[in-house]
Amino acid sequence: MTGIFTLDATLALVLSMLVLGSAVYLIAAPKTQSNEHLFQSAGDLLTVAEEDHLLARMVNGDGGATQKLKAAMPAQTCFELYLRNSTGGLVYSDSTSCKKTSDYVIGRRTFVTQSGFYSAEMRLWLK
Amino acid sequence: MDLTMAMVLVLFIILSAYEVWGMTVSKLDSFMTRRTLEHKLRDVSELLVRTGGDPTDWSAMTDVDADNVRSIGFAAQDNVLDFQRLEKAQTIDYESLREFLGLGKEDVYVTVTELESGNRRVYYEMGRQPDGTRVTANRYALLNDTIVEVKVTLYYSNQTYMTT
Repeated sequence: MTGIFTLDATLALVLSMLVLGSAVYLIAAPKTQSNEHLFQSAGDLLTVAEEDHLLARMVNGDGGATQKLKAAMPAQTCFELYLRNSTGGLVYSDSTSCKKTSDYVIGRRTFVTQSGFYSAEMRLWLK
Repeated sequence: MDLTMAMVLVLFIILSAYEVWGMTVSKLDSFMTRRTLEHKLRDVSELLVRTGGDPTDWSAMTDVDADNVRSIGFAAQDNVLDFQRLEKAQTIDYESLREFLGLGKEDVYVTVTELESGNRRVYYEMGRQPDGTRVTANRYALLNDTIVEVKVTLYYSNQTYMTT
């Protein structure tokens, strides 16, 4: 019985088990949820905010402009919004009051108002 | 004894490999099917929310059919919807709707819902909601200066759906 447990056979067995174990683990492991829909939402919300002149209102200091965005967002979605001028200076920021996770996406959009060129950055994540 | 043990081990490894191969093929097939459907869903939602259709004046036509319309979209511009296109889309028969959205065997259901008031009132709905696996996209747009959600759901049955 002990005769078959040579060094070669033991190594082969260990390797086989390793390969099998890895294959089973990779197949059974839960897939990481795609964030594609969050990217899409960030793009949509920034476009809507620009088309509805909300971004321009925020640049002019109208803090109420984000209320419209907040009211429209699903309850499980959180965001941070940063508006920067052409030199990169922060001119406006707002966020929902929920704990930030490391699994967030970033959407960006540039826009022009009468007062100049700006960029908007929205960080979106799920609760 | 050595030979028997070796044969048992080899058989065990071969059977395990066969089982793992079967699981892999099954999972891959399911993954590919879902991925294909998700790509199609993205295309359909883009078509509806970011284009006006082809031709763009399709909603002004008396007869909207495959002879004079290639695709439909709800947008007057990016993420800004046109209520006339939505009204017209509701009058299109279901098979034509699927054809204009470039769908094959999949079923589609679309709703446009108002979000701002918190009441989630459905402004428009079209399509069918059969049983079966589904994937959903939630898009955001403006409709008459109100933020709305355009929810597009594609359904397929495992028996009829073919990956491309």
